[in-house]
Amino acid sequence: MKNISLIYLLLLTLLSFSSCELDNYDGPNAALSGQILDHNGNRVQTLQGGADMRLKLEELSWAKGDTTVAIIPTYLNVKQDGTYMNDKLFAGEYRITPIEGAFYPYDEEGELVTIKGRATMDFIVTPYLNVEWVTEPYLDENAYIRAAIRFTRNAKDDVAMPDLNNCQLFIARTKYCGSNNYDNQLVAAPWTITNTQEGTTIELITSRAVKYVGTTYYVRAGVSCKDAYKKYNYTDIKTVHVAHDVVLP
Amino acid sequence: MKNTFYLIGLVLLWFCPACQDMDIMPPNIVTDEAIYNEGGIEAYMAGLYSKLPMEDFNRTKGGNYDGFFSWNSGVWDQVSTGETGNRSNTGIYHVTDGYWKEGYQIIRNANHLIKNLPAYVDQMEKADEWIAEAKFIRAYTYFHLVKCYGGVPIIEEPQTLEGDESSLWVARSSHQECFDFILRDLDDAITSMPTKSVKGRANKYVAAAFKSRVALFAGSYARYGQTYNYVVNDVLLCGLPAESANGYFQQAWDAAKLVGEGEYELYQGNSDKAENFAEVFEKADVSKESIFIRQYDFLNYVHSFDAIYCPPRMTTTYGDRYNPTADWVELFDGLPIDPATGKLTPTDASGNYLVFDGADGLFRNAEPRLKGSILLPGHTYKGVELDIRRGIIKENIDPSTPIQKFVKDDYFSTSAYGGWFNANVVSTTENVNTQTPYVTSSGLKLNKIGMDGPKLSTNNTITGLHGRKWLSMSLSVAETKLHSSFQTWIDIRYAEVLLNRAEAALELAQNGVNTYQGVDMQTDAFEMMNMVRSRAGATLLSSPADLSTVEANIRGGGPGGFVQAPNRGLQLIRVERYKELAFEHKIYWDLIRWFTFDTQINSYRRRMINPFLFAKGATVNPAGNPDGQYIYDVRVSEKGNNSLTFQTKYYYQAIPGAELKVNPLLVQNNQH
Repeated sequence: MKNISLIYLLLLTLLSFSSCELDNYDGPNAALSGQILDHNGNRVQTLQGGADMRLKLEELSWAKGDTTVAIIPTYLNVKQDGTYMNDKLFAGEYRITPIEGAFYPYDEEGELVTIKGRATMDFIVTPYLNVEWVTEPYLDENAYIRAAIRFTRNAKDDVAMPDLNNCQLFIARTKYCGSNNYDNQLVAAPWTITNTQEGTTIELITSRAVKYVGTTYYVRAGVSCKDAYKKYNYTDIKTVHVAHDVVLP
Repeated sequence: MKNTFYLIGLVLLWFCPACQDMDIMPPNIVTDEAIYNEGGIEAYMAGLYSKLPMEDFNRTKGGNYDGFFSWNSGVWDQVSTGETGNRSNTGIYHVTDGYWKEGYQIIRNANHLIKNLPAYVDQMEKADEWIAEAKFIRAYTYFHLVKCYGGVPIIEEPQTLEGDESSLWVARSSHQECFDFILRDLDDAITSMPTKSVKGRANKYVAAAFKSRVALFAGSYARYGQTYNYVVNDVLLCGLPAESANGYFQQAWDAAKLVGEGEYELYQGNSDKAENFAEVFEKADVSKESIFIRQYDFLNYVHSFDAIYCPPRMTTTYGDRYNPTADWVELFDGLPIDPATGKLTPTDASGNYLVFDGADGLFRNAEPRLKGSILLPGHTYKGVELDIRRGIIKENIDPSTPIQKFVKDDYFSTSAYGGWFNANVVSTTENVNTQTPYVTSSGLKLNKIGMDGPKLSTNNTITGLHGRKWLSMSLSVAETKLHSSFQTWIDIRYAEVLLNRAEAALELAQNGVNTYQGVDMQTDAFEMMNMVRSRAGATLLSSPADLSTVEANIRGGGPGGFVQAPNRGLQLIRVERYKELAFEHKIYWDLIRWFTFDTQINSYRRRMINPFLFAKGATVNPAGNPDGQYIYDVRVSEKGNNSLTFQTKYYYQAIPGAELKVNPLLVQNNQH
């Protein structure tokens, strides 16, 4: 009887080993980082997360050239300052394309990147607009935030320039300000912008006084075009400090 | 030892009973003999109907059947179009359920009939009618796929695996080929089907009504979708050639006209036009307006619509996902609408609130169709008198006092109430059921906020309104539970066909086809519109010239401005669809085919109507609700006021990754 149980145990152990095959595919140990630059070499201002632009990654090496294997893309988010980084990628050949941002569509071929160890890749896109401060944001005597901006349109060969859509002042109490995070009670309706306003100074003002004293507001302006995505081209982020002794109306 | 002997004998015995001829058909596989007779085919067909991708009460987000057949219909596409809000899903819902394999299973089953039935035409009565019906089912299923993805693989015969699996791969046909294929199937169905059928099954006119919908979609894609066309290897996978638009609109018009030859009519069984409109849905089984319906059964096939969508006090669980927006309400006639802005403006010229008598004061003169589509405050439904109130204006304020509007109604401001409001209005964030009432000088106790909303802390409506269309009024509150609703869904009704016809006619009239089949198109559109409006109790159009090509109103620039259109005539028709077909899973697809979704629902915030009661002069009625004089504040919703933007990549959805893996010939859609 004892022998029988021993045999059973032995059999069971044997069986449990039968499925062991070494998974020799390397884990996701490669890293890719880089930046998104505009045609002048400046970093493109975006939003944190995937709400603004993303990078589309298509892993080509797994299919080994077999066209019947479907390649399902994965996506990388980009940081607010136009840089990105991911260190949990599988090593291999990738086709990478920046998509869904406020820039002219990237070449459909994308960029072929071999990711192994630590790779870097910068992308150069042509934003629809360059937006810059004329007057950096400041607190006026009524505790409203004011600023002035100016935009210039960029062209790309063989692609129609999209028309201007609107402009918005994004104000938040964290540094993550943008169209996905702003206080819509400070600025309610966006300003409608037309093509003819290119190069002119656009004055922006909040629709009410700031709500808190002794705090820092992060401010950035964005202008959008009537393309498929209507995403914003942003200025960089400035801060407006509201001192403790400011009297709110 | 002897025992061991017996044991061996017993073990040997085990092998004996297995000796039987195993060459029998597995009983779970249905053979052709079982199907191809009158009863068999009816059962087979019933199975197909029950799987049709009909956007009914069980339409859902995701789920086990890729967007269909789920009790949990808490998220519906109407939250994306500005029709309704929903406190637990305040964002936008892009329909992306990956409906694919479910559809191709139905198509395979239909193909099986279409292939095999012709052999039985002589042996079986009405075999040709069954073939036509199978084609209707195939067309219906393909249409949903085409709405989602543009061109899809067309499979006309059931596939069998012979040799390599690559023999099963089929590439996507062009969007236009798909539409033409569907329309051909429907033409066959119209030719061969009988003029009458049992409820829930198709007949000649059902196929024609459906065809008017399909062709209208095709025409709209051709006319408005050029920006989103997508060509791969010279195949126009998404979008139709612009020059084909008129041809499809003509097909839509022809089909809609054919439906008129049947015995369908607008339901007018009740002389009270508001109740009459509600009865279109409550009496769906008997109404001659219902063309294609899906019936439910308390024992066998139920849904949970009432439990999920009733106001919380009218259901035992869930509740309250059915909050129509002020943006939708202000499309209706008979309300204080500012002609300059098109906004619902219950204020006078100097911006002071107008005072209304009774909780339903604002709606007393409203278009009956609106009154039949929503639950009105102060009216009793399912034994519960609806009570909606955002606060009470203190007793020292006389209703004749001019009160300036509390906050701007500029489509964007989400500001909290303040100033005069704080000093003179009482409200509470307590649970509505345990709130401390406001006590007047005469000792009258008035609940500060309504038992049915709007939502401050207790879960309730976020727009100050509750919808009525589809709700079963015969189900008591105690019976309103999950899995116990069984009223009928109407997928196609005559009013839709009339509006299809009006739209097709006007599209033709405005694009060079003034007369078609001897009929003046502009006049035809006008007549169809007025038929629908007359039944609804809306203001009639005065002449065909009203459907003009002058510029359409923009939002904030005049009535109907919320609904975008290329010109005023088409705007009137589109607004009519918004009003007539709201909450029927139609408008989402309309915005897709008009390609106005991304501009209309762009930084859009739902708006609400907040009623306030004057404590002075108020009484408490027998139902326990305060009654008296009210003012109404229209503004961006206080709760769930997310900024919604439709992303253009959802005009054509992404083909599911799992399908791309098994069929290498499939090409993914643009922007995905």
